[in-house]
Amino acid sequence: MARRVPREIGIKLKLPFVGEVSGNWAPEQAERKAAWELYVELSTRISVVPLGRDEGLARGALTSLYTLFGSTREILRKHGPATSPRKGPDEFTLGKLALTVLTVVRPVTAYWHPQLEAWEVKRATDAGPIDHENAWERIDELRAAIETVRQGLQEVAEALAEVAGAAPLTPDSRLLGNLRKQRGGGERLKALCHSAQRPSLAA
Amino acid sequence: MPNMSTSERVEQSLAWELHVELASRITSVTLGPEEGLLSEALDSLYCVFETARHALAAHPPQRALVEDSLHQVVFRLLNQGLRPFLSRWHPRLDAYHARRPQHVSRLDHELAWAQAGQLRAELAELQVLLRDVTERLAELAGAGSLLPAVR
Repeated sequence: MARRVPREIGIKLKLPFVGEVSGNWAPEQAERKAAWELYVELSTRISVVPLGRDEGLARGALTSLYTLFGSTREILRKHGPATSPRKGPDEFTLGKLALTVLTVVRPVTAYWHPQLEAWEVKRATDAGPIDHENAWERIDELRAAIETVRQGLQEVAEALAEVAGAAPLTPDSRLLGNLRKQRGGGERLKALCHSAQRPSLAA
Repeated sequence: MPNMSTSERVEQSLAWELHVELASRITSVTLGPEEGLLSEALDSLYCVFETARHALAAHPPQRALVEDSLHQVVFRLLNQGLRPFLSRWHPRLDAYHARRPQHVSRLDHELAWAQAGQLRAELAELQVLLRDVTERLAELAGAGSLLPAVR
């Protein structure tokens, strides 16, 4: 294990619904392992670029955010109480960061999921889901909320990456060119992967 | 962890599992007057109940239970905390939702429910009790509480 990872890092985050939080994090081994898994979740669940208009459903993004509750819980359970060592109030632990992620996500899923659903039930049978979503008078507000959360989670992901010894989350412009072209197909796959589970967004 | 008896390890892992469950769910979050769907809040509480039941079964006690044993704390959480609340409200809310017209959203339907305020008030009371249990579970798990990071 010759990975060069810092023994302690300073964390300073500015997060929606939470505000500014700062402190040091001297992660122990269980925390580092869990940090990697949480990093993978965040970096694959949230897009590294904002969700553009007409580029996919806000519904898909909400559902994807919602899955963070289950996966975060699972990661904490798996790596045990060592992910939350007793530390002072100004010191970070993986456990605190993980729950901070949920605190950032919860207001958006809890508020917007039922609001969007209330619009979705009004969709005429011959209207496509994307068209219907884009016709919603509040869609820009929802996209803005998702974007705020995305930026917050990206900050958390960067701290996790540092501790887990991973590369920072930066968009690769070559790859993004392809992704944008393929987005339609991607959305179809995403819908498929979520259709089996009925999301319950109150968490 | 070195120098820990089997009994201590079992209790630590049971306490941690339930601490994570309670701290990460609606059980720990204050719900604003018109925030969230009540049906999903109840479903989430039900999930805590199910997880706790499974966790109890998977972590049999390794020593005789006394009043303040962890397992007893969990039984009380289920039987005196969650069950009375759920058995009172789940059927009522389900019955009300069964009368929802198709073109009305769950949100609007719930907002029109005469008993919604009562449910929210009782949920807030239950949450006070649950927060205490959540803190106690962190102590028994030998872990720092996750609640300070929850808002």
